[in-house]
Amino acid sequence: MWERNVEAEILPTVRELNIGFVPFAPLGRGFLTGSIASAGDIAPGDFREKLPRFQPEALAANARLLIAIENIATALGRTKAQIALAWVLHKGRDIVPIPGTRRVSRLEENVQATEVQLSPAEMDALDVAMPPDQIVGDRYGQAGAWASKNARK
Amino acid sequence: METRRLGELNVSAVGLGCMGMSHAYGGQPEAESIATIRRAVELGVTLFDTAEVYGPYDNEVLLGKALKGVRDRVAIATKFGFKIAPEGKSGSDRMIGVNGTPENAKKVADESLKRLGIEVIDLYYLHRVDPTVPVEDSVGAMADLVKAGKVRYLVCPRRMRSRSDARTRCIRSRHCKANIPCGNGMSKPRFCRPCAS
Repeated sequence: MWERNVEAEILPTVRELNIGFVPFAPLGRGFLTGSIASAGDIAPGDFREKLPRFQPEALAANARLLIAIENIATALGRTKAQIALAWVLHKGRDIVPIPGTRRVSRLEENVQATEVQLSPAEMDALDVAMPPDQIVGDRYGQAGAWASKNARK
Repeated sequence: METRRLGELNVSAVGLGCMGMSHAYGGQPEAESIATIRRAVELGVTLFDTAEVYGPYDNEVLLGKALKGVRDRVAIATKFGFKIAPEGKSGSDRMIGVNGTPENAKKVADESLKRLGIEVIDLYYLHRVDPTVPVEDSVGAMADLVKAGKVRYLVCPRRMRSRSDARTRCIRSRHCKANIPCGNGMSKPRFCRPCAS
């Protein structure tokens, strides 16, 4: 929900070709669930330490973007993770998100997201909840530098 | 659970990403990871996602171990495309570049099959586009793996910092559009179709 770059070009292309789509990190690496709310929630050595969006000031600034998810979660008696996943699932039956988790309890929570029904109004609210220009911090920054380093040479 | 189609492959509407069990987010004791993976199978999850670079290597071994005995009920997705340092402080530190060469596609597939303890990879991803290798060459090698019966379906990558059109080029490459038969003893041809973010 806070990384929408595929919507312009990739999704239309895969649909034209009848290809499926597997979005990864559909819970925003923990941000959308509320479990990573401040720098203190990230253990030393965790990859997220290096991501611009997970820097302390970015997390603080981005917290307000969770309000729409939180409101809908409360109204439906669901968790924020379930709403974030349901939003992805409602984007099309050719989409299969792969939320990562280490724990059984989170797995069960994620699986139950398939039962959540979102109304068109709720989808609209979630669609505009996180405008790209209001998200503080890049998605990867230097943490993805290996992609351009071309260390194979 | 509801099932969905990734191209021709039927999978549960929600898959399980296994990266965090051994990589990037700190990992955890193996027993807990295995319990989570087995519970996922019980709940009807049929898509399990790993990669060579998660760990590196450890995550594939873990997934293979956890899915032993239920392998025929699930689809396993894994990925190649990184250059991995022989040593390093952490898995993330060992990701030192990309390698999308055809040779690497084939070498990693063989190694992943061994680590996972399976005969065929259901979904094989190019993890990152290698800016020094025409993407058609990377995908072409993956298509050869389909013909060899080592892979069922190909998956094109999410791009990062490479040529701006590489992703759609990958998706549209002749290998994806050519509907490559799997040739894996199936009664009717199966085709390369799934794609990923």
